[in-house]
Amino acid sequence: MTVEENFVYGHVMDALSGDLYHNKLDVLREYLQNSYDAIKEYVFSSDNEDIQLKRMNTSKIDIKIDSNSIYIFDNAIGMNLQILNEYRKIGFSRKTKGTYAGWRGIGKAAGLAVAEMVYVNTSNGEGKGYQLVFKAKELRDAILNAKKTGINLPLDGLIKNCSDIKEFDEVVGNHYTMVELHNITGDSKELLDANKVIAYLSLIAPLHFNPNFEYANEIEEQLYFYVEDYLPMNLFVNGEQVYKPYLHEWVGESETAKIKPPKTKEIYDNENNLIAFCWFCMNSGKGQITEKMKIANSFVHVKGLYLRVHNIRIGDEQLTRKYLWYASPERSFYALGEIHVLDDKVDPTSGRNDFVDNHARYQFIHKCAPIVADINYLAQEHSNKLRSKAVINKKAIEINEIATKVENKAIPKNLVSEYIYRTQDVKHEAEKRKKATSEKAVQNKADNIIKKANIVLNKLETSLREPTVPENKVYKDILDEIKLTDEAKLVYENIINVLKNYFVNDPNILEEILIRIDNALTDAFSS
Amino acid sequence: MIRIFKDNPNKQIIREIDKEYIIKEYQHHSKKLRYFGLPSEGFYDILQWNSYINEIVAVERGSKSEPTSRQSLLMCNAFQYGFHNRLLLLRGDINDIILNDKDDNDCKIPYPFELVNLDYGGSILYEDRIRTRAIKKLIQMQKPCDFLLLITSNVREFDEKELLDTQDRIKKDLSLNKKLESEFTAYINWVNENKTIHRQIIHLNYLLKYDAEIETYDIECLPPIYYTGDTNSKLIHYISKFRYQKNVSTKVQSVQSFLDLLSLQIYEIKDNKLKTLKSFKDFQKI
Repeated sequence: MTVEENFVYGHVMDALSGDLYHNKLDVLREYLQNSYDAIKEYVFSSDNEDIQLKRMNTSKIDIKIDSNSIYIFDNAIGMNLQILNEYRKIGFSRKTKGTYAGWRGIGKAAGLAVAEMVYVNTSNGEGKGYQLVFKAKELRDAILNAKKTGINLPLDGLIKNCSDIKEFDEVVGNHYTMVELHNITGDSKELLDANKVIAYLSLIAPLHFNPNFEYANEIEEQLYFYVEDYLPMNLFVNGEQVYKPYLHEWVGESETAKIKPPKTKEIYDNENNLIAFCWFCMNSGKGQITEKMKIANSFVHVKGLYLRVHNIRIGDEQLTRKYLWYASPERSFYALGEIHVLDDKVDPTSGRNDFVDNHARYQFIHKCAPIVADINYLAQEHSNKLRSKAVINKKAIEINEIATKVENKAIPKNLVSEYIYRTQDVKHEAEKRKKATSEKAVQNKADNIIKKANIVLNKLETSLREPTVPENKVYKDILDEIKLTDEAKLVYENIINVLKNYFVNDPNILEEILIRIDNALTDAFSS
Repeated sequence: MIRIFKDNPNKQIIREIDKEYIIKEYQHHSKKLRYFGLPSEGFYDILQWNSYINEIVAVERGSKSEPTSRQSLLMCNAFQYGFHNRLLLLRGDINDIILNDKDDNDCKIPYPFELVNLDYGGSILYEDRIRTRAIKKLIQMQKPCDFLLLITSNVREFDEKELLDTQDRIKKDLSLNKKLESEFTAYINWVNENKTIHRQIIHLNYLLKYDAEIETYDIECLPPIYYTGDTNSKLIHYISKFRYQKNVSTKVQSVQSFLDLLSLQIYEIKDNKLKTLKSFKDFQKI
C-alpha cells in the first residue's frame, strides 16, 4: 500500500516570493528576465540571419504602470497551454543553465508577494490564447492563516486552489506574453513609481546603450563579438525607451563629469576559454567618479565595474570592489564599465546580488586580476599626469613672480641666495615633471619654466657679484686728510669694515654713516 | 473559454457610418479626439477610428465572478495594437464610474472628451434608471466641450414604466402646443400599440435633448440605426452631436426641434445594407 505524501509546504512560498527580494523592484527583474529569455528564444529560433535581425529589431518589452497595476508585455515567442501550466510549477523550468538568464523556475513566483492578483496572458501565435490567473492574496492569506493556527498546508493544493488557466481564441500569428501584477500591496508601492522603475531598470536590464553615448557603438561592437548571444533589449516604460545609464559626459549633482574612451580586456581560463569580457572607461577628471547620473528624476551611481551574466546585472558596484580589489579599493571607482561573465559555472545567487561560492567563482576572481592591474595602472598614470599638470601650473606662477621681482630689482641682496635656491628648485621640478609626463602641453609649459628659470638664475648670480658700496670713497679720503697713528688707523679700519659688513645691503645708510663719521673726524682732527 | 475574437459585420458597417461623423468632429476640433467609453473587447472601434483618436479612456467592468481577469485581457490587446501608452483603463461599472466620478480604484475620469462611445451590451431602460442618470451626469461634466455621443443599446425593455413616464413628461412639455400635443399623442399610440423600436428611440432622444439643452448644449440627434448584433441581439445605435452655447444662461432651444425628432428617419442594417425603416409618417399615410 502506498501513502501519498507531500514534501513541500506553503511556507516555502514565503521564502521564494517575498524573502528573496530585499528590494521590491527586484520583482520586476524576474519578469523582465523571463521576457528577455523568451525574446532570445524567439530571435535565435531561426537560423536565417535576416530573420534574426528583423526579430531583434522588432522585439520589445513594454512595461506600463498605472495607478495600481504593472503590466509587463513582450512580443516574443509566447507559451502554449502546456508551458503555461508549467508556469504554476514552482522550481520547475525547461530552461537550460548557460543558455538562459533564468533557469531555476522560481522567479515567476516573485509577483505573488507584491500583488493581489497575478495574470499571465499569452499566445504562441497558433490561434489560441491562455490566461493564467493567480490569486496571490488568497494564497498569502491562506498561508498566513495556517501559520496562526499551526497548520502546514501542502504547496501543491494551495497552488491548485488559488490558480486557474482559461483559454480564448486568438488571432493566428499573434504571439506575446503579458504579465499583470494587479493591485500592488501597500508595502510594495515603489513598484508603481515609474521614475524609480526606469532608474532601476536602466542599471540592471540587458539594454541598448544610450544613442547619445559617444562610445556606445564601439563598445557594442565588441560585445557582439565577444559575448555569445549578446542581445540588447528594446525596453519601454510608459512609452519611454530605457537605456543603460552611460554617457561620455554628464551633468551630475554638483559638476559635469567626463570619461575617457573605452578600453577592453578579455579574460581566459587555464584552458584558454574566454570566461569574461570587460570594457571600462577611466574618469577624465580627478580621482574617483563621484558624480551620479540623473535618470528619470533620480540620481544613480554609475561608478565602478558592474558584473553581468547574460547582460543582466549581478550585485552592485561594491561587488567588484569587494572581490577584485585587494589593495587600493578606492581605485575601483576611478573607472566605470562592465564585466560580462561568460563562464556558466560562475552562478549568480537566486537573489542575483552575488555569486554562488564555488571553485569557478574563485578562479574567475583570480583571473580578473589583469583588469584590476590595468585600472590601477591607468589610475596611477592619470594621477601622475594630473599631478604634473597641477605642479607645473604652480611652478609657472612661482617663476613668473620671481622673474618680476628680479626685473624690478626688488630682491634684497641678502635674499638673493635664497631666491637662487628657489629658482633652482622650480627648474628642477619642471625638468622632473617634463620627464614624467607624455602630455605635450605640460612638456611645453615645463620647457618655458626651465627657460625662464635659467634667465632668472643668470640675473640673480650676476647681481650677487655686483659691488654694493662704492669702494675707497669715504674712509680713504679721511685717512689722507687726518694723521692717525698706526694703531688708530687699525681701529678705524676695523670699525669701518664692521659697518660695511653690517650694512652690506643698505649702501645708502652706510654711506650716510660714513659721511657723518668723516665729518666728525675732520672737525675733530683738523682743528 | 473566456473570449471570442469575432467581429460582427453589422457592427463594422455601423463603425464606418460613425467614422464619417468622427471625421467631421475631428475637423470641428482641428485636433485628434479624446475618447471615453466602452470599447469593444478587440478594440475594433479604436482600430477603425485610430487616425482621429488620441487619448483613450476605456471602461471595463469585467465579469462578476472575477472582474479583473477581463480587464487584464483588454490591456493585453492594447499592448498588441500599440494603444497601451494612450490608454487609461478605468475599472468598474461605467454608470457607477460616471455617477461617482471615479472608478473602483479611485481613479478619476479626466473630462472632457470629444468622442464618447457608450456601447452598452444591454438596455438603457434599467429599473433603477442608472444609465439615463449616468448619461445626464456625463453631459453635465462634459461642459463646455463640444462632442459626439455614440450610444448602442439593446432593445430589450426592462422598465416599461420608465418609457411611459417619459411619454407623460413629453406630453406635459407639449401641453401648451395643442397641435404638437395631439401629434405626439397619435405617435405614442402608434408606438405603444405596435411596440416598435420607435418608442425607445423617442424616449432616449427626448432625454438626451432635454438634458443637453438644460446644460446649454445645442443637440442634433442623427438618424438611429437598428441592427442585429452577436447572439442575435437586437440593437439600436444612436449618434448625437453636442454643441455648447456659451452665451446662453438658460435652457437652449436646439435647431433640431422636437417635431424633427418625431420625424427622424430610422435605418436598419439588413443583408449588409442600410435600409430605411417605416416611420410614423409612413404609417399615417397608410
